[in-house]
Order: sequence, then structure tokens, then C-alpha cells
Amino acid sequence: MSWADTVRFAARSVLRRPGRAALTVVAVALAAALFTAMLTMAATAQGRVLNQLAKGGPLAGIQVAAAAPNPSQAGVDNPTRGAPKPIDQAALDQIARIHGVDVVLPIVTAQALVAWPGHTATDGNGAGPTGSGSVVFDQLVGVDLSRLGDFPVTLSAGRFPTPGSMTEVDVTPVLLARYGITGTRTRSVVGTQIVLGAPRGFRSADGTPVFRSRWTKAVVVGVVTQQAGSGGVLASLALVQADHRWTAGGDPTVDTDANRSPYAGLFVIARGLDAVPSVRAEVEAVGYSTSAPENLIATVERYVHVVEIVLTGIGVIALAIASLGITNALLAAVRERRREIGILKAVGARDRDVLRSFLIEAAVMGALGGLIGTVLGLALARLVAAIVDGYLTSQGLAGVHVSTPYLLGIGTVVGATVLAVVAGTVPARRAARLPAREAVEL
Amino acid sequence: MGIVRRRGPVPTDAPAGGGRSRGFDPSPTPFTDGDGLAVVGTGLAHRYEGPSGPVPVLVDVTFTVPRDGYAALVGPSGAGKTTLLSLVGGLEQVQTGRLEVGGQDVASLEGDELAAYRRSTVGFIFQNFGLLEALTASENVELAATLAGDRTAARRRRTADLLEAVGMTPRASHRPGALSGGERQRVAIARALVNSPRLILADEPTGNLDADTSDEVMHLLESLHRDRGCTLMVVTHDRVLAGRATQQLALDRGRITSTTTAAPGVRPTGAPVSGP
Amino acid sequence: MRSTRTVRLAVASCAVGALLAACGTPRATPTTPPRPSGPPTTYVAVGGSDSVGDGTGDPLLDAWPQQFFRRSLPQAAVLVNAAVPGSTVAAALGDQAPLAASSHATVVTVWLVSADLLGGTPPATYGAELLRLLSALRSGGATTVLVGNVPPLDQLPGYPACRDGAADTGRSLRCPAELPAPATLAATTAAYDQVIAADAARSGSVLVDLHDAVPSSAAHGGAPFLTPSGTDLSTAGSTLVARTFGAALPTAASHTA
Repeated sequence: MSWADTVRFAARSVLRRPGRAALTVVAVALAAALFTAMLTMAATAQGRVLNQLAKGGPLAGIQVAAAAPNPSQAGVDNPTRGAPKPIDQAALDQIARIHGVDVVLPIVTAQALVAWPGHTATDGNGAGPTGSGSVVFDQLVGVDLSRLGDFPVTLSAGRFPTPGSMTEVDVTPVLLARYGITGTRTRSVVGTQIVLGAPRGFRSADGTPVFRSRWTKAVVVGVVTQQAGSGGVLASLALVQADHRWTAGGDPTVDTDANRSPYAGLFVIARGLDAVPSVRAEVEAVGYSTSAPENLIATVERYVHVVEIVLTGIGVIALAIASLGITNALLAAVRERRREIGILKAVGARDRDVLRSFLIEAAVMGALGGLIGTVLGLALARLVAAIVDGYLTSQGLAGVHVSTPYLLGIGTVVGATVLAVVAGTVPARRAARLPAREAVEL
Repeated sequence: MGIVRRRGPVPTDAPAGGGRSRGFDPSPTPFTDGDGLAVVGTGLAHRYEGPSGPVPVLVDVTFTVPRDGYAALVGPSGAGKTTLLSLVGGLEQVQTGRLEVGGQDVASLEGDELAAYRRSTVGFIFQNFGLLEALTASENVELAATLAGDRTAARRRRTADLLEAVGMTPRASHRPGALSGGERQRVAIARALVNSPRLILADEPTGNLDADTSDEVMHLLESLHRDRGCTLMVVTHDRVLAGRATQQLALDRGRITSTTTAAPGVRPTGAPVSGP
Repeated sequence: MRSTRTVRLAVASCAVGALLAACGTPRATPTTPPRPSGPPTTYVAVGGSDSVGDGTGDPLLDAWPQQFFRRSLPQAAVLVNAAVPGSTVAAALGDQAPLAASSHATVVTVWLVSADLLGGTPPATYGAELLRLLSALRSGGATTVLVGNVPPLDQLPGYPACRDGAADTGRSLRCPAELPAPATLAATTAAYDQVIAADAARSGSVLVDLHDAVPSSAAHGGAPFLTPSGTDLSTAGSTLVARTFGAALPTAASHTA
């Protein structure tokens, strides 16, 4: 009997008892759904946790500060820094040539007066005469907005500014808190007008120090949490560099606090987590302090792996239990079909023809249950993720994103099929050993 | 009813229609002594294991059915008729004695060889028809050819021819549950013939049928036996039906009590042979 | 047979469809609008203490150049407030005009009247210095310059305080030792307005008629133009000045990026 004919015959046999077959398939489907849902949610949670650790940037990201390294803090994830040390283009190029570096992204910061019509600072640090008013002193952080995926930046409302824009910015919850705007109210600032002033020190003709600001208007298009630099406003490199140049060009005897380093920092992405330690060491050898959550990420990954093993074990146990249902169903089928098997033997079926037929029946139920269960499991994982996402975003936090683990889905279907075939082995052998005389016994 | 004509030369164990044989399917000893097969049993004994020990079913059974012969096994219930037929059909393993079908020692067959013997040498017709409820009439007939690994087109052609021969073409797509007893038995007969066996064994083929239908079925069997030239052995408790055979083997308590052979042209009951 | 095959096909299709649905579509990244185009507007405010917002509730936000910048100029405009409290036209020529030039200003507002008028600068001298200032700011015609004249005397920032006997108006403006009589000051005001108008015409600048736009204090209704001390523009006064300059801004200058 060819394989195709055996499959057809097995399919007919399964459909003879549709209710029993359906129950068996449902049992396998539920187990497969549990398996798939648990592992998908575990993978999603892992991604969210690691994303949180990396502050939204790539896991192999390294922050380079405009400061010398602290020798006593070697290997520490977030070391204290040494003396300030400007980062210029030459230093950037030198760091970019380090083996293991994938890309170097500059970060520019600029001091800024943030003027927000219609809002009043509530933290007592407003620039007004009584410490209140609509203007606070903060810092702009400028990054390449076309590479935001590479920075530790997480969007919680609205959108990111257009790359290169001179009129769009995002603000951080820290800045908003200075105006008493917290929680879900942070979304309300999207679309409002903000005015940014970069101060510059001058000496007037009579030697009097005076500050004049270069003001720009911008629309707040989003709310972000960012670890790229210290500042409450995220904007394009062009916008912040213009303000930085204005401030840095002032009289150094008037504005002694002005940051004159061309780059406030760098964000270096290594070619993989394994390269992070060596890249950090080399950057520190160039003379700059670095920080990266490599140790924390490694620890978390180990713990998450343990959780995955446990969940996999639970899922496999569930599938094994469901497979016992297949064994039970097929044993009952063998008992009921003794005469039929005898007839098959009587008309010339070999033992292995009967064996194959029953194994294929088991495989069909396993595969079908695995497929349905995988689809259900993925849908369930998405549903749970949607609920969690809604809760997180309602709290003003970054949400979660469910990936589609194709390999897991394929593995679940294959695994369920294999387990089903294993479960069907005993009843299939029993059926194959039935004698042909069963055809004539009353 | 149409009559199936034998195709080609002496049928062997190779599949008809030139289909490719699948799996292990050894060719038995080539038959050279005519179309039907002679069945020779010598000192056959058989017992089943009962709750209180072995129960003898056949005791020292010796018989011969000539090639192209038509033998009826008669006797009361429990005489061992079905057991003897099962031994000849390869449904039971020979325990004691010798059984030769067409000169081949059936007792030495086992596993795939025995399956091949059942598939290609023997066509078995059961008292309860032995059809699979999950398959249609056509698929039931085709089953034996499917087991032989024949090509789909060839076996479907053969199936269609056989169904036409037994008058079941209009009901080919019906499942056994939708067929009458007589119709089911016709389908069973067609199935028994699909691999062109040279030995047909029928166990109480009319046991569940009314008189008219029984007559029709027996006419069909006998015409196929004559036209195809295969040996026919029928188990029956009906003396009238047994009288249609050219040879009667009477069994009682596992022993052959008498063997009656009719003269050529005359049935064992003395009634002349007439009609198709 | 046909119905069974159809059922099988339907079940298989549903299974495949459900699998695809479960896989879902990738989360769409937020779309961003296209970047605005056009040359950027750089606005430099040349002025004195009124231009830095002294007297308003939130000087960095309420100073009239800030309001003018936010309301009347394009989104991508930049403001450099070069104003120095207490500056005269002569002083502005020295430190504010060079800043406007180095900033590549495309729009400049000039409102420098209180320090010179209350300081006793003769109208002719004022006019000459103003003309030099405006010409320098015009950059040969590349820059749009708006120049404001003198509001009604009783609405001149600093005058009511000096009239009422203050020695100075606070951190920037000193009152003269002897304040001329109101009639004299009124005549000087008129003379200032004449030279401002003439200089505007000669330099190709846009005259902003604050004398006409600002109601005298005798007029009833509306928020007060000056602070209660009379030393500075009030928030409402800054708004009125910003609106008046905005209304005078040529259409082309207001529509560049």
C-alpha cells in the first residue's frame, strides 16, 4: 500500500468517529496553545525587559561621555566619571576605527531656556522672578533622528520629530513634571507650541556682562524617555548644534558654564553583545569614560533562560498529557475495529500496512491539534500583550511589542506531531499484531 | 449480469494491468497445472486455547480439491468448516499437518509471504460480507488492489469492470450501510476477484440472505468459477446449496466424515448440471 | 464525495487564514510629515528696556519682540534679542547693529526712543544717528527693517515715572535732572516722529506708527499701556506694540520659512 493510499485510508478512519477525533484534536490543541502562548509571552517579556535595560536602544549600545575614565571603575556597568574631556571630530573618528565597533552616533547638547506659553513651572525653578513662570532652564539633546532605533529612546506618546527638523521636538516626562504634568496628562502636551532660547554671554561696551538668547519656535510632537543625554528636550542634531554653536561662541569670561565640547557624548554600537567589553576597553584606552548595561543584561538573560526552560517543560508536559489522549483514543479504536483490521489482513494487508495506517491517524490528529493550538496560542499571546500594552501606555510607559515566533510555531506543530506518533505506537503495534482470523470471528 | 473474461495468460502473483508492485510481495511458485489451484490437506489438526485448556477444532483432516474444482464444506455448526476454510485461506496458521495449494506449502508461509498469499492467490468472501463501512462500494473493491500497490488508473479500471460484472455499477459510490445484503455480497465477491485469485473461498456466502438472493449470489459465484477457471470452496450448512457443488466434504466434530464427488455433468445430489 | 472535499477545503482555508491572522501585521512606525521648505527667517530685535520685557509678568515670554516673533513670523524663524536696557541709538549702533549683521538678520525691529528723548538728545542728532543705524541694518536692502516712532507722551515708557519725580526708572533708564515742560516734550516728540518718518523713508525701512496705534492715557477702556509705576510697558502694552509691528510687517517677510 503506497503512502498516499495509507494517508487517505487513515484520514477516512479518523473521520469515521468525528466526535472522538475532534475531542482528541482539541486536547492536543489546548496543550499546543498553552505551550505556544507561554513561550511567546516569555519571549515578549524578555524583549521588553531587555529593552528597558537598554533604555530602548540596542543591547550592544555603549554610551561614551565627554569625560576621562575612572580607573577604579573598570568593568562596572555605570561607572563614575573622571575629569571632563571634550570630544571632537578626531576623537569620534578614532573611536569609529576601533575593531568591533559597528557605528558611532554623536550626541550634542545645548543649554536652553524653555518657554512654554500657557504652562507654569511648579518646581520653584522657573526663570521668572519668583522661581515660577513659563520659562525653565534645561538642556536640549540632539541626536540623528533617522537612527532613533539605535538610541536608548522610548516613545510614550505622539511621535518622534522629523529627521533634520528645526521646528519639531519631543519632551521628556522629567521636563513635564517641572510643570506639574504627570501620568496620562503627558499626552495632552503633544501639539503645543514651545519656545527655546540658547543663552550667550557678551560684554557690552562698558564691560557689563549681558546674556542674549537665540530663540526658536518648535512644536512638541511627542513625549519620550531618553538616556542619550542629560536634558528634557529631544531634537534634531541640526537644531541643537545651531544652539550649541551660539552658546559656545559667547564670551568665556561671561558664561563660564558653557559646554564647549563639540559633542556632549557618543553612542557606540558594538557588533554584538560579545564585543561590548572589548570595545569599552578600547574606548577607555582612547581616553573616554563608557557605560553599558552589559553585566546586567547578561544576568537577566540567564534568569530569563531559566524561566524559558521551566515554561518549555510545562508546555511539553501538557503536550505529553494530550498525547496520552491519542493513545487512549487509538486503543479504543483498535478494540472497536478488530474485525475491520482482520478483514484488512484477510484481503492482503501486511502488518506494517496496518501499523502505518494507525501511526498516520495519530500523526494527523497531532499535526492538526498542533496547528490549531499554535494559531490559538499566538492569538492568546497577542491578546494578553494588548492588555498589558494598554495598561503600560496608560501609565505613560512604553508598551510591549509581540513578535511572531515562526520557528516556535513550526516547532510546536512538528513536536505535537512527533509526540502523537510516539503516543500512537502502542495501539498501532497492537493493531498490526491482530490476526487475520478476526475477520471471521463472530 | 456480465461475465468477466480472463485477461492474458495464466495469472501469477504479479499485479494485473502492469502496475508497479509496492513493498515486499514475493512471487510464489509459478503455477503450471491449469488455471485453478488444487488444494491438498494431509493430517491437518487445529486447536484453540479455551479457558480450561486447548480445544480441538480439527482432527486429522485429509482431503483433496482438484484444480478448477468446486467443493462444498458441509456439516453442523462447530464442525470445523470455517476453521478449515481459514487454514486454506491463510487466515489461520497451520499448526499440525500439511496443506498444499497449487503445490505450495502454505504452512511454511508467514509474515509478508502469508499476506501476499492472501492478497493474490486467494479471494475470500465472508459470511458477514466483510466490507469496511468507511469506504464506498467501489473503494472496498479497490482495496485489495490498493494493498497490492497497483497503479491508481489500472486498479480503478479493474474495479469498474468487476462492479459491472456483478451488476453494482449504479451503487458504486454508496457505502455498505446503504446497500442491501445481496448488494453487499456482490461487492464482496467483486473485491475477492480484483487481484485475479486462482482460489476463491466463500464462508457461508448466503448465510444472511433470503432464498432468492441466495440463489442469485450462488449463480454469480458459480458463473465466475466456470468462466474464470478458478477453484471454488464454499462453506455452507445448506444441503441444497451444497448439492450444487461437484464435491462435498462433510465435517463433524473436526473430522471429515464423508467425501462425495459427483460424476462430470452431475452434481453430487444427482441433479444434472444445467444452465450457466 | 464532493461535499466532503468541499468541507475539507473550507476547513483548510480557515486554518490557513487564521494562522495568517494570528501572525498579524508588523507594528507600523509613526509617520512623520515632510520637512518645511524655504529660507529661514532670522529676526533681530534692536531696542532698550521695553524690548527685554521689563515690567511684564514673564519677561522672557511677554517682551514684545518675543510676542511679535511668536505671532507674526514663520514657524522656522529664529529670534536674537539684541536689546540692551537703557540703550540709546548711538549705543545700539555700536553693539546691537554688529550683532544683527553677524546674525545675518532678515528682519529687524528698531524701537529706541525713551532713552534718547528723556536723555535730551536733540531731534536732529537723533535723526542722524537713527539714519546711520537704519542704513547699517538694511544691509543694502537685504534686510526688512521696521522702525517704531514715539507713542503719545503720557504713554512713553519712563516719562510718567520721571514726571512724577522718580530719579530713575529702575535698573536702566535715568530720569533727567530737570524734566522739560510737557509742552516742550510734546514738541520734541513730534519732532522725533518727523525725523523717524523721514529716516524710514530714506533708508527704505517700514515705519510703525505707534503714535497712532497707542491710545493716550486719557482714553477710556482697555488695559493700561504702562505699568502702574509708569516705568515700563505692561504686558498688555507689549502685546499692543507687538501687534502693531506685526500689522506693519510686509507680507513677503511674514511668509518666508
